[in-house]
Amino acid sequence: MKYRSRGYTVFTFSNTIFLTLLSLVCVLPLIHVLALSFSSRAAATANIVNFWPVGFTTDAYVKTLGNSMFLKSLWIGAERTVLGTVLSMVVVTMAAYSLSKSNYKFKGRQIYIWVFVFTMLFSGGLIPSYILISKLHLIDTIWALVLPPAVSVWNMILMLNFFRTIPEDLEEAAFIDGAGHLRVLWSVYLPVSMPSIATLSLFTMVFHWNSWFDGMIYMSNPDGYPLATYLHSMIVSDNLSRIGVTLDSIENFSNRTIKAAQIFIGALPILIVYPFLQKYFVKGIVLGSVKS
Amino acid sequence: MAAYWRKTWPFHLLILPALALVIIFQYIPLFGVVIAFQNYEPWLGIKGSPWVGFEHFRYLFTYPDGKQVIWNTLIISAFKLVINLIIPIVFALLLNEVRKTLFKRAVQTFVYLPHFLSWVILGGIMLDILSPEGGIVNRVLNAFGVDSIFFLGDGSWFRFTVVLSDVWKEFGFSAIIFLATLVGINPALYEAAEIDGASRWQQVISISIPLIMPIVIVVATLSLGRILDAGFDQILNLYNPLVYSHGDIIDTFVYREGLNNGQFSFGTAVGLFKSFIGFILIVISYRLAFKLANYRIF
Amino acid sequence: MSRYAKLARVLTLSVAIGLLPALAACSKDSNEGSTSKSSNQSETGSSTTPSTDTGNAGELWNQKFDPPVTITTAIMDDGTSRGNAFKPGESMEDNANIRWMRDNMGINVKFDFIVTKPEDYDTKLRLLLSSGGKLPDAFAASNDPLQSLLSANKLMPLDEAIEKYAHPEYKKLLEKYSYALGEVKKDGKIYGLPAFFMGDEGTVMWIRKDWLDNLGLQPPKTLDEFENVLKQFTENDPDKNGKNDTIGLAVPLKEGPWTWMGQTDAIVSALTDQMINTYDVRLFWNKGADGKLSYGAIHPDAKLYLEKMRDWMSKGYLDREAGIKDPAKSSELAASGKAGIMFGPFWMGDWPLGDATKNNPNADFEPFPLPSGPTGLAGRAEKPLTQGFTVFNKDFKHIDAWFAYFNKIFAKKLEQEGDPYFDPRWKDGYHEGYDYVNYNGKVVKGNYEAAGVPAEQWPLKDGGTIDIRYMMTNILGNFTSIPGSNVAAVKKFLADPNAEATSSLEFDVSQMKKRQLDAAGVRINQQVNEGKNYFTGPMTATMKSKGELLKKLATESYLKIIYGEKPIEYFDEFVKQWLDNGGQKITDEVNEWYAKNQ
Repeated sequence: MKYRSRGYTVFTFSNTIFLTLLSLVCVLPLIHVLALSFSSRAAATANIVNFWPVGFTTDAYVKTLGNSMFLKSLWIGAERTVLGTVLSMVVVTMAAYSLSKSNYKFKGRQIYIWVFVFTMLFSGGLIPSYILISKLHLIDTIWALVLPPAVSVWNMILMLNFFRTIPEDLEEAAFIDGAGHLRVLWSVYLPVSMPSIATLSLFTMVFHWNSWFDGMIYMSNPDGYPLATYLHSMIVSDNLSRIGVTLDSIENFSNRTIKAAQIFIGALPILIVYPFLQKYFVKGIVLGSVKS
Repeated sequence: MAAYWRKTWPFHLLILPALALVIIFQYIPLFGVVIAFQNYEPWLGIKGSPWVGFEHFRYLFTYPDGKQVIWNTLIISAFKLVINLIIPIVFALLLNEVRKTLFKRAVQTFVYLPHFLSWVILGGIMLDILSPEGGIVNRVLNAFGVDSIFFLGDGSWFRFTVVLSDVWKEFGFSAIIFLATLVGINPALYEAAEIDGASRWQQVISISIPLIMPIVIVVATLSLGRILDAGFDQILNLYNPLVYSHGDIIDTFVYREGLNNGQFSFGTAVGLFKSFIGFILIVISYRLAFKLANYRIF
Repeated sequence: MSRYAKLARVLTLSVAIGLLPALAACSKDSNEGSTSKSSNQSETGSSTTPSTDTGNAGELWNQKFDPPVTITTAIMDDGTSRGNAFKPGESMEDNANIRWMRDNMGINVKFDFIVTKPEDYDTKLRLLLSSGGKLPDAFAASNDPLQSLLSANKLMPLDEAIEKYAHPEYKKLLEKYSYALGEVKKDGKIYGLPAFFMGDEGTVMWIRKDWLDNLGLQPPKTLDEFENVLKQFTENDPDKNGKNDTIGLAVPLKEGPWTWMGQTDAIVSALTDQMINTYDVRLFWNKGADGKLSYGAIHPDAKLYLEKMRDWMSKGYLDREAGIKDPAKSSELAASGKAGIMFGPFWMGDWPLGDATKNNPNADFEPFPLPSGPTGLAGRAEKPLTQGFTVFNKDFKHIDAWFAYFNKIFAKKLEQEGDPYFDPRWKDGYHEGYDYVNYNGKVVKGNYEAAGVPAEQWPLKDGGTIDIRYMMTNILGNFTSIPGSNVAAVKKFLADPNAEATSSLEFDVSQMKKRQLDAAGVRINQQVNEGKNYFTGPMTATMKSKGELLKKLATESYLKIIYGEKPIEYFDEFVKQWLDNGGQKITDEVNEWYAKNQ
């Protein structure tokens, strides 16, 4: 690094301080939630927990994890996330490849583009989608959760734009060597697009992992719930006027420590996977000797 | 003709899976949008439900608070759009300047964590820290001689609070795209500029920023499509009768009506309206970008 | 037709009817399943005699249907979130009760769908119907879906079935509370069975006894004394910590004056006999001297309430953030020792107020009778009696089987001596090893560890009690209580905390924490006016279209006045707006309904 001007050193120093403070501001609420998840119900009710558990107990975690439904939903959640992400990325990447070609090389791409973009905005709504899934006999199957969101037009457009930044020379070289489009996509585009692929995969994974509503409507039985739906169902209504009040329901009612534990359990897998993807958009891959 | 297909058949083939999925799962259900023009009842079905034309759209606009609700939505959404673009970009640029990979990764990880907090929990937390009776933020303000502000209960502060908290929650996550782009810029470019005597600042201005502009425009355009969304989940957890006038948005309004009436038709009609506006905006942006910068967003 | 033919018909019919008891006495087999004349016969093969007639009254509890019938239903809350609804390995679809019903009653239970929260239920119901599915045989419905089903003529009228099959005590209950059935009445027929609340959640006044003692105050009996307590709690450092960090009343106003905890109906009732709510256009409709119904929130007396609240808010006696807090959030002040008074149901003694004691052993919230106002008025609001209804598919063929099961459950709740519907197999509890355990010749229903029951026999691994309602509800749709049935038990345990529980009901009551029991007693013992909602019908047309708007208008206006943003005179302007924006029409519709349903 050659720029060692005074100005730059000052900048680096203040930047570091600033970023540290920013990180703190972002992390503190999470620490609070973590502390809350390990606190007693009484402490949560009175809201006296700050950054350290009050009345330490692992009760909330035991309740959430101890439920046999939890493991099942964990598995289903993982299943849909993996399937959904892989399927989506494959389908979207292939289409993005074609669509990244210029209008000259690929006449008619405009039509496809607008066909896709239109669906990004317009949808029939909940009922027609449900009727369709039902008629296709996909209710209570993992495919109801994986197929409908597979074509993420948002991702497609981003991917397409990333592809466009790849210098043509790389492509040309491969074609000259006799490669077909599929080979070019696989051996030229993909390696070089790892940042975008990592990014979009992350987005897709997070989407699938946290998606609870479709799990609720397409599974007729809580046995089929993915994790997000199961966690969502653990939150007892905040409004007691609809359900009958009994003494034991009060016990479990609106236990904030459980909500807090859920956040962590729900976020944990993503947090674990994250560092592996992060390296792709933090460091990046050198493209080789080409001009912009 | 045959020449065309010979040249382009791989392209069509690669698009096919996506196309098939989209036709099945998006276009077929699209016919159901017709319930926006009916008074749909599940047991009557789409064929049997009575037709009411533009009744629901009229309702949205003639409802006494209808216009206010739309206005709130637009304001909040516009602010969010702009700030949710600027802040992540600035942050990405700043983070990109960090040399120590470990620090960079750590910051980046911490900063995107708020994304995982649900508004249900965040709502409660915000109520606490923004409390005019001893909440941290107000205590700091008081120390500087500023009177306590009732952030969540004062109409004139509510939108500000909503936008700022949303930015805080999402900027880390949104910045990832920009980071990925920045990281893909060929370092040779910077080296070349360095040799030409450019300072780092100049390098950023003349290389980094221009090269992420395309992505910024893409993200901005796509976000325009959701201009009438404004963040239902967040607002639902933060709003209250004291700030309805400033904070009630289209989606929360539809939600409450739906609780009353279970009207899928009304919800669909509103959704259609939002889609329509969003679509127009995207088309306009697309055309603008093409005409002015010769850049095809997609 | 000719007179003779008619006569012949009548004679033949009478003979046939006259012979029936004899036939009934003859058929000894367990095939007591009745087929009412209207249901089809193909399912059950040979026709059998109705069982609710005379004859085998002693066998009323022992109905078995052969061939077995299948009843489909849907579940709105399968208890997933509770953790104590089922044994590991069992679920809503497969558990001891399901098996018992199949083996002992010949009833197969099938679930069309199961959700875990009431909010998801309506969505699921509508989706199921949208996709052209058939309705479940018996299921719960309320509010809007209920009305839609009614107007679409999808539900079975139940008058006949009730007459034929229902437990006599249940019929009496329906008579007594017939005014609560407004939502399911159509063309003079009843289309749903109500699921009653216990009706024991009337408001009491919870006050920090230790703060009263610290300040040398007596529990307030009048509204003026109450105001003084508020003042002292706010200004005179009742927790003696040298800091000015306490207020008088913890109250949620986000949903207006009436909600499920922390509600201010006691204050309203001390000032007027009108009951007020702003958050739901169906509550409260009060009867005026002219016999007509009017909406409480726009009644001039509401000004008295608003003035008081506004006054207290400006003086700082109330939580300044009340307007943005819901009940749970507002209770934090009480639980953390920052507020000294909160109104609400008896169960608050455990949560949230019991938590205050867990956090600070000196904190002691005690329940007190409600204060009376300047004119001697005192009271509370009556909570709606039903939590929804159970309705039946018009094509359901086996309502007799349904009632057979229902009557059993109902009889068990009644626990009356000599009840022919009482199933002796359920004498000790529903299912052994689930809601009770036989140990050393004793029936143990809870506190298993303390009772010395060995761990392998505990229903749940942690020794807790199973909430048996989830397992038992299945086809019933809702779990209904018998209103007011625990009053005697409460009195018994108040008099003698160590008394033996001799029935399930008493056992449940004995499980109450001390403060909850005290509060229940306070509520029972204070005979006050209970503000009743006179409108129990379905939402009127204008309620549907304008209800949301009016709810927003009313709640906003009330808060503006209480917070001092608008002067008290603004109330009249609000009333005018309310009436102009559909309120007048709604009032007319309500009175129209009322006139018809007397």
